[in-house]
Amino acid sequence: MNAFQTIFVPLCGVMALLVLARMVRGRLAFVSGAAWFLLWIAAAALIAAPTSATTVAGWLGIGRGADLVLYLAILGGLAASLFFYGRYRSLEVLLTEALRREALRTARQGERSIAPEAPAPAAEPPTSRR
Amino acid sequence: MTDASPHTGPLSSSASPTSSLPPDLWVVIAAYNEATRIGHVLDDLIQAVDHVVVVDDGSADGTPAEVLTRPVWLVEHPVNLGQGAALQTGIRFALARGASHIVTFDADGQHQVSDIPVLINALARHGADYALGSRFLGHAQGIPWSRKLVLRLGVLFTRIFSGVALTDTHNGLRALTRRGAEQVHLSFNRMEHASEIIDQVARSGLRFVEVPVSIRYTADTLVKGQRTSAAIKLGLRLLIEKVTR
Repeated sequence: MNAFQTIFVPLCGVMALLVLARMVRGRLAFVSGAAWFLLWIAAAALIAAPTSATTVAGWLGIGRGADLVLYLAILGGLAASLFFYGRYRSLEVLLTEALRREALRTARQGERSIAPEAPAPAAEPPTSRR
Repeated sequence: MTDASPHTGPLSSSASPTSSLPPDLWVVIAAYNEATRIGHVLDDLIQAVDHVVVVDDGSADGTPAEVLTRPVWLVEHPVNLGQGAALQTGIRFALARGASHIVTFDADGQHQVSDIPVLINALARHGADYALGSRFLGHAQGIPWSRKLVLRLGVLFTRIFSGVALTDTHNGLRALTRRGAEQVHLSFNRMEHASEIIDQVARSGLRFVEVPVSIRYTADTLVKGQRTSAAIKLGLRLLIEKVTR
């Protein structure tokens, strides 16, 4: 094993175990937890046995293992981008709705306000003539 | 479908068609840093309509104070969210107050009050729920060729990706019936809302009509308008949204 393998194979193993621990504690959903676990195990296997990428690439009709890793990284990056874009849009909608509700609650017309804490203008006392 | 009636220009005060406007018509204006212009816009509007709501979108130039010197409603976003967000806030405000019709109107003086009855009449004449203003059916005074090109590309984009054939897809002057306004739920806060509203109009199954209107460009409104690079980013965001949601 070279220095890179010595450091990163155990590191990937530790990450996989952390994912398992989070799943056991109920802090990670099963599907996403399983996906992350398999991802870390695959990364550890790829680093420990680099030629395995070439073997798998051959099965898929791709020339080199490095190309396979590159293609998977690109696809993973795109998937991650779309996932985070979706999360960003959901947060934007939630934040906008919260701010909108507050804005609507405190609408004003001239000097009049519909907010509960604004004092109503004092009524003119009736004048009487004798 | 387009309205074949010609645009008639400014109204005379002696026989004002605005007197035939529905009593529960609300005009919704999204404003951001328009303190120098919004006063004139509101002064013209309040001569013609009874109900106006300005949604101030986090202005830093005293726009709210200027608005509050007129008998109109003001709703204030605490931060700048975008024109789409402001219009949706205004639409929701107007619907909550029983609006039978809603007109969206720009704060910068590009739109003409005299076009409001033209839009409302088109709704009634065609039995439509949406009357969408078109500068290319009407008049666009002072429009530079670059802006015209970007707008035409927007029309093409909408035709391809929304399947809707319009002549002007980014015109802020539009009239909606209550039923039509209830179908609008803008989720895009920024300028993408213009395309989103057309998407929602098309998917609502309700009738819409395009109406010739006038847009008046001035040097400062052109500066504030959308840059070409922003228009390209807008198109990309709309594409990503169609793929992901």
